Amino acid sequence: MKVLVIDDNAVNRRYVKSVIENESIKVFEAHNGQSGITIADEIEPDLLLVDIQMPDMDGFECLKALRKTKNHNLPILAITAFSSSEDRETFINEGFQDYITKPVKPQVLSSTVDYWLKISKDKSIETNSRLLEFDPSVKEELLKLVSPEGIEELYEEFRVEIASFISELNSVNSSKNLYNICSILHSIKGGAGSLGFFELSELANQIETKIKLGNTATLTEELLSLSAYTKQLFLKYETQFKINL
Amino acid sequence: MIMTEIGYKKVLVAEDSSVIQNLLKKILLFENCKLTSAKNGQAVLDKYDSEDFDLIIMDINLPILDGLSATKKIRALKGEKGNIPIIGISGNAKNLPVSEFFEAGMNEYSQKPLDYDELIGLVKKYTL
Repeated sequence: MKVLVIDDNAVNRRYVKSVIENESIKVFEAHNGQSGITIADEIEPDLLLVDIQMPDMDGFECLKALRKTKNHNLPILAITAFSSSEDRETFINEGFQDYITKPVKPQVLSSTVDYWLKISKDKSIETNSRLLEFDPSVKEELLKLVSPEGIEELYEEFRVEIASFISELNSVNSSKNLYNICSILHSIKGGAGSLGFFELSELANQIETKIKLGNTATLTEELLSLSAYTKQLFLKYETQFKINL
Repeated sequence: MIMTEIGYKKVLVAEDSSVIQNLLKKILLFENCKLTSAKNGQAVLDKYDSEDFDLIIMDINLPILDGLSATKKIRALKGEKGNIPIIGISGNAKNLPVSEFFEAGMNEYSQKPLDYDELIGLVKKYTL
């Protein structure tokens, strides 16, 4: 894996290199934004670390230029001395996937870089859509780790839990209990995703995200359609739960 | 390492979804782990206060006290107690920069939907 560090300060570049370089990660260096863009085109890095405060072209300008030619999934991480909360949001809104705060802690730097390299690797292998209604490969993965009876129990527990979530969602006053609704949606998202119901997971995720953005105009309808979807899903997979596991 | 029963490692799982709790229980059973459940961040602190564990698996999005705040409080504990390995899990990676999980003091982070092999690898790393 190739990591490109764009930073005008040689000591900082050396520091990053010494922390993250190993048998599987090779670190390249650029001493300003312009040369960073040129080098990025040559080496096609798997991840970039960009210092925010640089002369001539700062980190944000550099990011914009990089995003013009690079895949938007390519992890580009900011390195910054700012740390107040509005700055944090700025980095993500501007299009950085993540940021490392100065003074840089070696543990935080290496864990964050490892995480994003893994994501970037998974994305290039994965055949995109995980949005299957039910992905049997998840069940097969589980079968390697859990007995068939255990799996049957898990899916049954999931069915019971979701049913109770749905009835809770139907009974709460949707305008007054946004916090409860979000936490139920969050649980649906996690449980459904981990058991292979990716479409249901994404549906719950979308509603949760909308609520968090303050967009609740059509919430009642959305919850109704989630409930209808879930009923259909369980009807369809009822036999699967019992027999095919 | 704390061993109450021979060979077993004690793992505290902070997770509000009982589906994920049970999933983890079933998966980690084969890794010689004994799981204790906590459904919110405050419950994690209470359980950890009265009992020792080898590892904590912590969801980020927890009621009452979230996983990041709970992690920070654990890291602020003096001595061995403050150094317990913590593996973060969350479905929220798109919204929160993962660097914040590590800043809070988590040793590892695994994204939901859970990659079971990865999680087992991480658990082994800290309990073997």
